[in-house]
Amino acid sequence: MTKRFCLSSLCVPLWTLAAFSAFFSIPGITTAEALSPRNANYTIAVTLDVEKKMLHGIETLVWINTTGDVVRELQFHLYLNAFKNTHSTFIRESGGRLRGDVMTGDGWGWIDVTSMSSQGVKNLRLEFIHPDDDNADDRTVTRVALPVPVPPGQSITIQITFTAQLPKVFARSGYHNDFFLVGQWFPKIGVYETGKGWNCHQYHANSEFFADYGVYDVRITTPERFVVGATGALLEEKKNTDGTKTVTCRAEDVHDFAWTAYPDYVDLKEQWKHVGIRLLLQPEHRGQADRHFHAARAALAYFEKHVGQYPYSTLTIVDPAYGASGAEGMEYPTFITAGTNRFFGTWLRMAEMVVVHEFGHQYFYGMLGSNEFEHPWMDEGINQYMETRIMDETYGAGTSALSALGFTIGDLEFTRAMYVAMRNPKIASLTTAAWKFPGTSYSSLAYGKTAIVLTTLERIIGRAAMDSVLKVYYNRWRFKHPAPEDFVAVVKDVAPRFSEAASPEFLNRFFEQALFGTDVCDYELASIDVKRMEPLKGIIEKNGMEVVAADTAGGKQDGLCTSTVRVSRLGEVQLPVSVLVRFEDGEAAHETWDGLARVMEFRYQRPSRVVWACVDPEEKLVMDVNRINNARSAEAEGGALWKYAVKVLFWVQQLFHWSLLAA
Amino acid sequence: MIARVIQTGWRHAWTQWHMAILLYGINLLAALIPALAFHSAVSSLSSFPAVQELLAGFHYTTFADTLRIYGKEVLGIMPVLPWLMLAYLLFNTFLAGGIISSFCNMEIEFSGKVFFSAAAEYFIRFLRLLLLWSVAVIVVGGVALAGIAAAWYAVFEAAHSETTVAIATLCAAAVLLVIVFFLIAIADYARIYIVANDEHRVRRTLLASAKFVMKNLVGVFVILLIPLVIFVIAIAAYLMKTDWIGMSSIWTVLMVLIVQQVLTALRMWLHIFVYASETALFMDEMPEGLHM
Repeated sequence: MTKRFCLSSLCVPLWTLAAFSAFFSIPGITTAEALSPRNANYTIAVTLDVEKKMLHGIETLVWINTTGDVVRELQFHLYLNAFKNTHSTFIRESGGRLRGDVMTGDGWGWIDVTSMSSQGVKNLRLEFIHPDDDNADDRTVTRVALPVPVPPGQSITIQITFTAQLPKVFARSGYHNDFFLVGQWFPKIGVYETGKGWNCHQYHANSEFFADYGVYDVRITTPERFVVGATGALLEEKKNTDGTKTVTCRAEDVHDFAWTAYPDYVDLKEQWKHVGIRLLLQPEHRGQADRHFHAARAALAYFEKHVGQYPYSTLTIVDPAYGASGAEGMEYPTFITAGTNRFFGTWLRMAEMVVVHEFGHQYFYGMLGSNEFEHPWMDEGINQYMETRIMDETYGAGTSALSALGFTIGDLEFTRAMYVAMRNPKIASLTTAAWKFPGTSYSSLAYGKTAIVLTTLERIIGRAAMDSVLKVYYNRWRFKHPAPEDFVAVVKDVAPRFSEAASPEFLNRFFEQALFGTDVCDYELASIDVKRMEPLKGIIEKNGMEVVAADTAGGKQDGLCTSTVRVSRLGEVQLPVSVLVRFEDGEAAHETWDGLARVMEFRYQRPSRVVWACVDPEEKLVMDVNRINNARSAEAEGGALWKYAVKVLFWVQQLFHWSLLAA
Repeated sequence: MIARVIQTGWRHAWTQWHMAILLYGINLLAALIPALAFHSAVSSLSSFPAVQELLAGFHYTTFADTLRIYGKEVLGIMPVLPWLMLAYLLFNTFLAGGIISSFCNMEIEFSGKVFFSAAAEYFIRFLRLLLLWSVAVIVVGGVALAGIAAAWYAVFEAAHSETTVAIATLCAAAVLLVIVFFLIAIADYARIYIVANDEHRVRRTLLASAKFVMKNLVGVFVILLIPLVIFVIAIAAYLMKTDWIGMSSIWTVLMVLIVQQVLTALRMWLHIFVYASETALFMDEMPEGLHM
């Protein structure tokens, strides 16, 4: 078994090399610098029927078998069939509701492959499959048996014609009046994994996507009045004689392609180093253009500094039309959708937060192409962690999300609340596949918990170590499909070089408990007990004789205090913590504890008593679910309570007075 | 005419300042019960320095964690509040008879005995009026609210812009405010009618009051609008002022408490002023025999 494993390990790089050679010999899709394996390459011509909200497409797919297996069938995603009827897995799981948006009864969408041919055989037979559940009515994955298998290193060309009915915008994709956001719209091949076969999941309510890299040459035909934006670079815009226009786009080293068409966009452009930023804004949001650009520039610069360079030359930011909120906040390669409201001033940085988050996906999803179906924490979670860093460092920690009428919330605080406010934070592990998270726990855990756990890790091992982890992870795995163990391996490789805290034992326990386990972290400053030492009394031995203690030692220990500070670990997660103890005379003691035991006591005999103590005073353990119990005073103070009692008094007075309207 | 009515109301309200003090005192006592209960309930948190830090300023994590983990203590007063409000409402229904009677009989010198005997005299009738009016509010308010909500939703569905929805929301709020004003005015003038005419037929009084309000719409609305505008300005000033003061030490908390109580007393006086102005308007419009 071991031998066999070693052989296949050797084979993969060889076959990959062979595949690259084959790829470079295919005319029309080669460029000098291929950043990715480019094994799924599409040429698509699509026409948008704006009246019927339909797409008519002709697709040519060149797929290269970069694996060591002989591939006998192909599997395709037909994502738009998720919106075909109430029996689809997507609608069954979501109940027609997603991210606050509700699907309307007249907004169905579907995709129909009208023909598929390859290897000289026309009309290949498609068979719908449902690899994730027992829903035979789901039509989002299809397979086609090949007349001739594809050997390792060889390519296959498939010609497909399709017609698609766009849904009313509900979950990411669709139309609203004249606004079109066209995502997950074409028959898209799955990912073949050596020894495992096709990884081609159904479209689920809680899940995003997974695909191979390639080159997309796409020609989009729309009525002339429409402004078109798309993944990659717009090479040409040609007017046709029938009142339409055709926009030609090309995107290299990407694993998806999305586009938008809308007549009323305000089309704005800015340059940031090698990146042309295009902002397609709603006219009523024109006043927020600078905020969008600023957030995009901040995110580009931050990622370049802390992770790696953005290699593409374009970034398109789309602001969906009013009524199409379902299309907001979504990432596609080099193409993201934002979301704002004209009444949101800088007191609510929604626009910035969405731009920063979706841009971050260019890395954690785009270039680091993890499997979003199976490991959502690797894209959403790591990206959420980056979002908190960028937002708090750019717009102010504690105020980066909201700052209005004295109420302030920072992005990290908001993210932490997603996780700690869960009724049951132990409900699922981050190893859970996206669609298997129970209830609403998907976002709280995949986004919130991951970000908070990584922030905790960063504060334990240090920012320099974490940045190095991110850089190595990016350089090692960009344009590949990293798995969870690949990220963990990078941390274990890199972090110990920077920090003594990052011992193998610590990292193993950390990942097992904090990231992949369901355990919670809660350290408590349980108590402060102070006892003034009494003078020694009674009979003691002195010089071989028994004497009355009060006669000899009386008063010597007067004024000494014994203070006991007790720290408890209420949660299961074991992390090293520090404890800060303050004494009445202003002195302080700094203690450390490995955090393994359930209870730890620190005792002091000093003239001055302990007045205050705090576990984790540097607030490293952001994942601690209760920060209130981290510190304790020896004596109660009521200042803040009076403040809030006064507030309660006032507002209850006003409330009572309103009742007088009826009296 | 309305200027004269407001002038009269202003003069009468100042003359009867005792009533504002009385209302304020009752309001303060009633609110002290939940406020002190709240303080007592949360005193177990006083040994947590994190909670103490809230004195210095708002901190979301501390605030959210406190509510999440110790919510039972912090929000313990909530179930009691509706009952306290009901008791407060009933007591003020009792006081209303005294207040209106004082304004209807300005020639009689204010005294506790006169005030409370008038309050007792009209209490049962006012209580019946309150019940009947509540039914009317549920029916009329419910229908109006459903209509406004349907109209707003239709605009929301058809809108192509956030501005349209914002304007529709403002319009809906304005319409709702007018309806609320209308219902409040009917109750107010019905009470004045009962006192002025020593009327016992409550249902008839409500209908007559509605007629009076329709006939004197502008005057009625101006009188109700004045305290609302003053209240909005005062609350805005209060929010800005407390933000400036900071409430970050026990002394500034005390300062804010004083500002709050001045503001509340002002509201009580405005309540008296509204009754005085409404009585003046009623007397002005109904001089002979006071029949509607």
